[in-house]
Amino acid sequence: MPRRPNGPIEDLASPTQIEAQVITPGPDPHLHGFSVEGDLALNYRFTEVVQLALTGAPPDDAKGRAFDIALQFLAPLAIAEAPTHAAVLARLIGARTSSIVAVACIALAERARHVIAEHGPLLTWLETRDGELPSRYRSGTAEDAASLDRLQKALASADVEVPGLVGGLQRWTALLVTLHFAGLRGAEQMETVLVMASLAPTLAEALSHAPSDLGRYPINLPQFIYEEGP
Amino acid sequence: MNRDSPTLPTRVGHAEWGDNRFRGYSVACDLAGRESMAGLLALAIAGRRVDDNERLILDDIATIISVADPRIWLLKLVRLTSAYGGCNAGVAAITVSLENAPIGHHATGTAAELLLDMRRGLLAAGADGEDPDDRVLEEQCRRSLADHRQPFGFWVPFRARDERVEMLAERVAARGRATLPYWRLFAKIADIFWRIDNLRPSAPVAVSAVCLDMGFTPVQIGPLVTAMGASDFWANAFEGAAQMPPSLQTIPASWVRYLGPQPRMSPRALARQR
Repeated sequence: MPRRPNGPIEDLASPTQIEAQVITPGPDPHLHGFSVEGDLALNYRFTEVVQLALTGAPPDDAKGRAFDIALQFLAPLAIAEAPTHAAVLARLIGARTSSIVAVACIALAERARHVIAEHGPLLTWLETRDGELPSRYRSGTAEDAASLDRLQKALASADVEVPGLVGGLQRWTALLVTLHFAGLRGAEQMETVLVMASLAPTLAEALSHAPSDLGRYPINLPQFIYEEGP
Repeated sequence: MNRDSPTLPTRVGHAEWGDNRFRGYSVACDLAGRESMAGLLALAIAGRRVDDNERLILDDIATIISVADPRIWLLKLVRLTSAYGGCNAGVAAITVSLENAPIGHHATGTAAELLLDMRRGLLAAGADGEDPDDRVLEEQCRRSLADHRQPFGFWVPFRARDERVEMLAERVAARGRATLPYWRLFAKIADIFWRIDNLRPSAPVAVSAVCLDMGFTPVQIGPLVTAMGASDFWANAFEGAAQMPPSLQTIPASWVRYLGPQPRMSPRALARQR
């Protein structure tokens, strides 16, 4: 078959290598310069390696413990939440496991983007500590107070004190304050962590349902009311 | 709304006995045999039936925006994500990636904002938004250059001009749409940017002009053009999934240049050594 003549891509001078910044290719992979198999696996927990991957520096013990505890608080996402609900639906229509994982990741990422966007001013405040915490991130509900109490107890049991983790915070605020203490910065790192934290429990819920078991699914919940006309 | 039994309004569709409704139309009686794929996409997103001329220009757009070379960034992404045999995975990955991205078909919506901004600027300056004086429009373009250095939609990668713009201009003229307001505005802006800063328009801004002339909004234009441009995604995903090429699943290590930190010991490893 005759070759087509050169186009813009053939005629364009372009790099001959793809650049890597974090992970070395090949055997004995290094993460930000640290050997995963020869150093990190011996000295750090998995969640601490995640912290290192995202922040570029291995955490100290307090930051590692705080991160671990925050991830545990972030992990469970019941079927009432859209990402788990969507993953269950993928399971029920008979999707492959890889597709269910993909659906969960997309929905978790969308949820994370939404949550972090709503907390943009909080993330800015955490960087500057300029003035009072914006009032919208405070809470007076018993639910939030109880969750904060559990978080404080979990952190205290690990001998971790997170500055700013005081009474009257919303649950999300408390968890983002803890992640910030653990070294996470900015929307990109926070969104990544939120997805990672909930992925396994979300998939566990989805995979607990029988594939193609559509008869047990409440198809008319919630009700959509179809409207026509202008 | 009762929180315990919430309901949601929808204007999209309703499943019925013997027929189904879509956007206010009977699938059996109104759409089957009467509506094209492009027309169906316009109905899906914009919520209205397009007329015959609009349907044809949408088909023209779907054809013209095709640049299916798998080396192009968007399509390489499709190839990588379909490299393990999942065709739909490749299409899903690129579709998700394009949302609000500055590169790709979804950016047509952002390009439409540029034209709308220009028109708003003209109206604010007391100029005719439909047929502006060239000097007033040039002032607008110079301001846009000062603000953005490279106005959105006026960057053509790899080549001096975007061949798709020329193809589209030909079809727009053939369909009798070259005198519509946003196409005329686009043509004038393109001439001015070329004259004052050697900038050529890319396909998204040209396509956005056609879509604005159909009354579509920027938030509708992005998804609509993404959907119409999906043939490139499907072609690459289908072939990529069939190939499952080991050379994409893992590229040779020699093709990678590592620029990160050099090997070092972690603080805990150092502490153990002491």
